[in-house]
Amino acid sequence: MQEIYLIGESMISALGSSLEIHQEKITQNSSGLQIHSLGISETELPLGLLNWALLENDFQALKLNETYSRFEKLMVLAAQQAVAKAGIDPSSPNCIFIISTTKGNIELLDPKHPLHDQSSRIHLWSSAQQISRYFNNPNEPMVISNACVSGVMALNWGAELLRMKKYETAIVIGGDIISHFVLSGFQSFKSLSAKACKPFDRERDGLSLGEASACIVFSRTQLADIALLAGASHNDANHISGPSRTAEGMYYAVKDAISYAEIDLNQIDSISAHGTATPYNDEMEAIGLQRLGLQNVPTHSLKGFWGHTLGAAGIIESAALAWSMRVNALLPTCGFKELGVSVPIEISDTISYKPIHYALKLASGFSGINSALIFKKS
Amino acid sequence: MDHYITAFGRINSTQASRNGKRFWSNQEGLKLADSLKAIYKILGMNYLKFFKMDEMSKLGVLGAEILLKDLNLTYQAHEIGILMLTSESSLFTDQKYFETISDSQNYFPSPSLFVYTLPNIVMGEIAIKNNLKGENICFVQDQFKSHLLFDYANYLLTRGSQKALLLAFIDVTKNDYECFMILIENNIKNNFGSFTSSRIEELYCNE
Repeated sequence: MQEIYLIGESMISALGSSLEIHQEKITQNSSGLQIHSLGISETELPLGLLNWALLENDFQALKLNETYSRFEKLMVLAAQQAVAKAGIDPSSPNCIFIISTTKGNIELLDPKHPLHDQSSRIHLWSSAQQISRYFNNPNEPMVISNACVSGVMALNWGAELLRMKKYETAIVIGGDIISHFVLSGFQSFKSLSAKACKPFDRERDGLSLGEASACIVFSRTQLADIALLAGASHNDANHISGPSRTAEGMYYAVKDAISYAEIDLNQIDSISAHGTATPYNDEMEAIGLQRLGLQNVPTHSLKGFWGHTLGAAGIIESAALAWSMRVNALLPTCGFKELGVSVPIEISDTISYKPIHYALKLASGFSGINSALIFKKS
Repeated sequence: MDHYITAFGRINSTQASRNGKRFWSNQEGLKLADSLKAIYKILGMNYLKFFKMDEMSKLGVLGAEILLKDLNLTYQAHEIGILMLTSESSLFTDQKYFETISDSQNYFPSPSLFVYTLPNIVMGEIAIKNNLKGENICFVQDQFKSHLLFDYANYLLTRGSQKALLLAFIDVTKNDYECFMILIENNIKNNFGSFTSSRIEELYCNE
């Protein structure tokens, strides 16, 4: 499979709004989750909220005025940072924008929202057009909204479009913000932990929500050290809001991704799990890793740093994985102390260093979908 | 390897059809919920989970039933995928859910409604009903795009992991609804044509 190069990344989360601050905090194993009380119920919850007041300076520097929603401002900022690093022209007809989000501008449903009357902008495709128009890109942006695997699938499709030689570069942006809508829904599901989430831990009892945006710029021709080789997804056909107990979909997603990457499972050096810290998700991933014979490969989840960031998750976690490959680091699983899944897997609890050539990114989501990506360092 | 369109179907506010043949007409001017029930009955379905779904999922499950009902697909479960495109996403259900949380005096968020505030859930429902464990993707674009569905399907079929794909365009709004589906298979020739972008467009526009 043709290698598609990662030539620029950005990460904006509860940890901060630069790559450097993310690298520093991850190295220190320092969480961005903090207790907040939000929403009608005003329950105190650990959340990965962005520092919107601070971000406002960045938005103003980019002349993002009030005709942009805060979701759109965040997506533009993430794209701008990654594009600047990549040094590409985002207005080129050979460049495509791909947007990954679950709820986009859902806040606009509220009649009190200043942009409520901009009726089309509640549509994900319309909001995506607002974002790509900022960069004067002439192509229609593509939107992938596939629950929590959106980001991973958007990366895979972005790379594939370049392999098909439809474009030279792809700007893949993922994002979701915490709204009353999303927060109340996860609360109603009783899937939120009262404490900062503890992926794969014995005491894990739910996820922590976070808001974030992240961007990865791909190139077909501009060489870089990290490349995306292949990806795949499979549905469990089991339950719309819970994973398969046998990790059915995840197993096939990894098998397919490995086969299309033309490598062997035993070449994987590092795994970035979905690791939401719900009892069922982490158990499923552990079972899947064992079925695949990957139980001894160092595995981390980054949800303890910034929470589950939904449409941003696959992209921000892949951006962190790419950095970890460059510096040969096995990333820590913030919040993890003692293994709490039924099969022995290798969860890394502190940062350590080892040569990394190939890495696997996992994601799973509502509807029973599971996705996998394979990255390579040359 | 050649791929062919082996079935197609449509449901909208005036009719339901399979392979271009109408099997239900909305002569009584039924609204969405009643139309869905009427089509469910005509298809002879007996699937209790159906009644727990939101309208978008019901519409998609009925669309898939129209195509798959009398077919005996011999592929393995993980070789059959679903690709979908929607322009409305789940906004019809999002609005309903929003109404359950917008008033502090009347605050009843329900997990069984919230789960349907994702557009890809309909693929999960179709997957469960028909035991389809292949690839899934959900695009949200401003209108039907045959070339996008074709490009993604072609990518999956060419690399070989998927032997059959269900391609769906599903939209529900307050006043209208539409579901258009086609089934693509590996090397099964029949009268509905080769799998090309222009053939998808033709089938979508012609009915």
